[in-house]
Amino acid sequence: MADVGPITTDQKKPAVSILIVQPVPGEIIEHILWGLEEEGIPYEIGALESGVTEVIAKQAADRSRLNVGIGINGAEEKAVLHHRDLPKEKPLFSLGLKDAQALVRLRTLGVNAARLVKGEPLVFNNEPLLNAYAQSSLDSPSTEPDDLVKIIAKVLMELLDNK
Amino acid sequence: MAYIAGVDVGNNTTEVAVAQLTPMGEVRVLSSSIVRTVGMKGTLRNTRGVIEALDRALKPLGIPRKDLSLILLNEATPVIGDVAMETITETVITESAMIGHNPATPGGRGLGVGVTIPLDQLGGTPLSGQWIAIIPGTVDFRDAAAQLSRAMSAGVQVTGAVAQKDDAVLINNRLHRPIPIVDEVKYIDRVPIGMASAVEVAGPGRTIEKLSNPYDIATLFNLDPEETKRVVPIARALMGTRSAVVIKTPHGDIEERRIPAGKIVLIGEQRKAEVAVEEGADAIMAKVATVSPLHEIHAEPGTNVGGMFEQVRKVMAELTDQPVGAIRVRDILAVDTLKPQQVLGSLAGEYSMGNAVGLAAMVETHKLPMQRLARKLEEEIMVPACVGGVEADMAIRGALTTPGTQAPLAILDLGGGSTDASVITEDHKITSIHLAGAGDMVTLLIDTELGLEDRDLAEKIKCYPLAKVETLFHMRHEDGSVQFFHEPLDPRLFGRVVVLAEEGPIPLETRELLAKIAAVRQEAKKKVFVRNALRALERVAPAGNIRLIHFVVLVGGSALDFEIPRMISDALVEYGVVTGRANVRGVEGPRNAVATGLVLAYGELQRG
Repeated sequence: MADVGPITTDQKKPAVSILIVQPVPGEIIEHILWGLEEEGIPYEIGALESGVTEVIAKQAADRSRLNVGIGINGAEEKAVLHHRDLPKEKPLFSLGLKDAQALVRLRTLGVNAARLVKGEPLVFNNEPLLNAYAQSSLDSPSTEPDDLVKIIAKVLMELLDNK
Repeated sequence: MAYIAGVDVGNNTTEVAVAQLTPMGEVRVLSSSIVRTVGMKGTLRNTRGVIEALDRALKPLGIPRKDLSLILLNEATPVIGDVAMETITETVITESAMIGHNPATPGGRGLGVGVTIPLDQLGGTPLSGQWIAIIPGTVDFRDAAAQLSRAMSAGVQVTGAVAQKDDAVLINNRLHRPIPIVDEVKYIDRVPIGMASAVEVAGPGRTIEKLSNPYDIATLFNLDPEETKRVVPIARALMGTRSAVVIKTPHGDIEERRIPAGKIVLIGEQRKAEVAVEEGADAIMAKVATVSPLHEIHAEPGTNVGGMFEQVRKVMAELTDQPVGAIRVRDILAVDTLKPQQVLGSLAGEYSMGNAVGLAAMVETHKLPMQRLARKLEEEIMVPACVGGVEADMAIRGALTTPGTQAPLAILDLGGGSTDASVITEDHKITSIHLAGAGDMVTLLIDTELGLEDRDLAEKIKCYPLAKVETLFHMRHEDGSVQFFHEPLDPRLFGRVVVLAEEGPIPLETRELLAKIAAVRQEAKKKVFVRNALRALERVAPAGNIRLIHFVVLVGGSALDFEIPRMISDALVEYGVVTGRANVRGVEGPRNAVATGLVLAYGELQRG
C-alpha cells in the first residue's frame, strides 16, 4: 500500500480533506492522491455511509483546515472538488468517474485541490485555452463558472459520443 | 444668432464642438461629442463619423442639422506611424547541451553529477561511477521509483534523474534516499546518453547556485579556460531558475548569435549617415541626432524594418494620391528591448531573452484632401463646410482655454501613431513638429517583452492596471489594496495575474510576477513617451531650451492614460515647467482641443 499515502482522520493537521462513499475503486482514489502528492500538499481521508457527492465534498471542505475538500461517491460515480467559502450547490469542479480519460482528470483534480491551497493557477485539461475564454464575457459578476465548465464538459462528451 | 461646428477628424477619434456665434463674433461653445473615426483619416469614408458626431452634439441642444450655418474642418497634417521589431541576438544550441527550466514541482534538492543513462539500463551498470537516470514518459512513476530504488540498493550510485512527465515529487517520495530530479522535459529522447551531466534542484523559493555560475560548471566538468568562456551563455540562461540540467557533449556548443538585421540610411538636410540596426537603439538615435533635421530614411529591403518602411509609405501614398516614391520617412524612434525566444535545439522548450530593437517610423506629406471631405459633407447634409485652420494652431488655441495657462505654452499631443508637439510664443508664433513613436509603439514593446504574440492583449495591458487573484473571493491590486467579491471569481482567474479591463478581468497565461509585468509596462511607456516628450519639446522650444516654455499641457488619447501624465510630469519637473493634462474650456479634459480651437478661431476672424 505504499502508493496510497498515510490514511488519517486527524483533523488537527492542515490537510485537504477527502470523504469517500464506498464502493470506490482504489485506482480512483490513488490518482487524486498522486495529484496532491506531486504538488506537495497533505491530505486526510475519511469514509461516509452515504451522501450526495456535492454535499460530502462541501462537508470535507468545511472540516479541512486548508478549506479544501474532495468528495467521491462510488454509487453516484462522481468526484467533486469543493471550497469552504463556496455555496454548497456550486462546487469548483465535478467529474464523472467513468468520463473519458477519467484517471488523468482525477489526477488533475488532485493537482487543482493542491493549487487551490497554494494560490497557484489551476489546470484545465479539457477546457479551451485561456485566450478563447478571455474573449467571452467576464463582465457580469453573476457569471457562473461552474455551469460554464459543465456545459463545456457536456459539449465535449457529446462530441466524443458522436465519434 | 448662428450656430457653427468645429470638427476634428483624428486617426482614432472624431470630435465635434458646437458653438453659438453672436453677430459681434462672440463664441460660446454649447456642446461637444466624440465618436470613433470611420475609415482612414482624410478619406471620404470619414463623412459617416463626422455626421454621427454632429448629431450627437446637436441632440441635447434640440437643434436640427440644417440650422447649422457652417462646419469647420481641421486641416490635418497627414502623419502616419507604424512600428516593427528586429531581433538581433538569439541563443542556439548545437547538440543538446542544457536544460534549464522551471517545472512547477521538481523533486529532491541539491546537486547530482554523473553520466546519463536510460532508466532501464541501470540494472546492468558497474558499481563504479555515478549516474544520472533518464526516465521517459512511458514509464509509470511507481516503476521508475522501483527501478531506481533497486539499483541504489544494489550499490549503483544514482545521483540524479531527468523525467519527461510531471512526477518528480512522486518518484522522489518513493526513494529511500532523495536525489534531485528535474521533470517536464518535453524532448527527453534528445538527451544524449553516456555523457557527463549535472542536475541541480534548489529548495522552494530559491534558485540554483552551481549551474548558473560558469566557474562551478568548469569545476564540475573540468573545463579549460576556453571551454569555460563557451559555457557563459548556458550559465546566464540558467540564472534565476529553480532547477536545471547541464550535459557536456563532445561537440555540443551553445552560442549567442547576432542576427544581421540590416542597415538604416539616414539622410539629413546636410549630412548622410548609415547605421546597422544590430548596433542597438542608442547608436541609432545618436546617429539620428547628428544628421537631424531628417529629410529621408531608407532601410534595407528584406528586413522587418525595411518592410515596415515600405508599408507606411504605401498607405500614405494611397491616402494622398501620390506616387510611393514621393513619400518620405521623416522620423524614427528606436528602442532597445528584450524578446523571449525559444532556444533553438532546446530539450524542454526553454526560453532565453534575446536582444531586439523596436523601431517606429513616421511619414508626413503636405496636405490631406480635407477640402474633398468638406465638399462631400456639404453634399450629404446640405450645410456649408470648409477647412477652418491648421491642426496644430487650432490645438494650441483650444489648449489655451485650459484654466491657468498662458503663452508661452506647449502642447504635447500623445497619440497612437505619433507624438506631436506645438509651441506658442508670447508674440503668438506657432511652431510644431511630429515625431515617430507613441501608443502603438508601447503596445509593441509590451507584446514583445512579455512574449505574448497578441497585440490586443498587449493593448489591454497598456491601458489597464493589473491585479493578482489571491483567493476565489478577493484580488490584490497593483498598489497593494485588496478588493473582495460577494460572488466567487471565475476559477480560471484563480492564482493568476489579471488585467482589469473594462469588460472584466482578463487572466494572463504567463507565470511572470505581477511586479515584473507592471515594470515592463511602465518601462515601455517611459522609453517611448518620456523620451519623445523631451525630444519634441527640445525641437519646438525657443532656442531649443525647454526652460523657456512655461506651460506644457498634454492632449490626445494617451494623455488619458493612468500613468503617462505623471511620468512626463516627473521628467519635466526639473525644467521648472508646469505640466498637466489639458482641461479644454475647463470641462473637456484633454479632449476636444482642436474642435474648440476651430470655432474660436472663426469667431476671432469675424471680430476682425
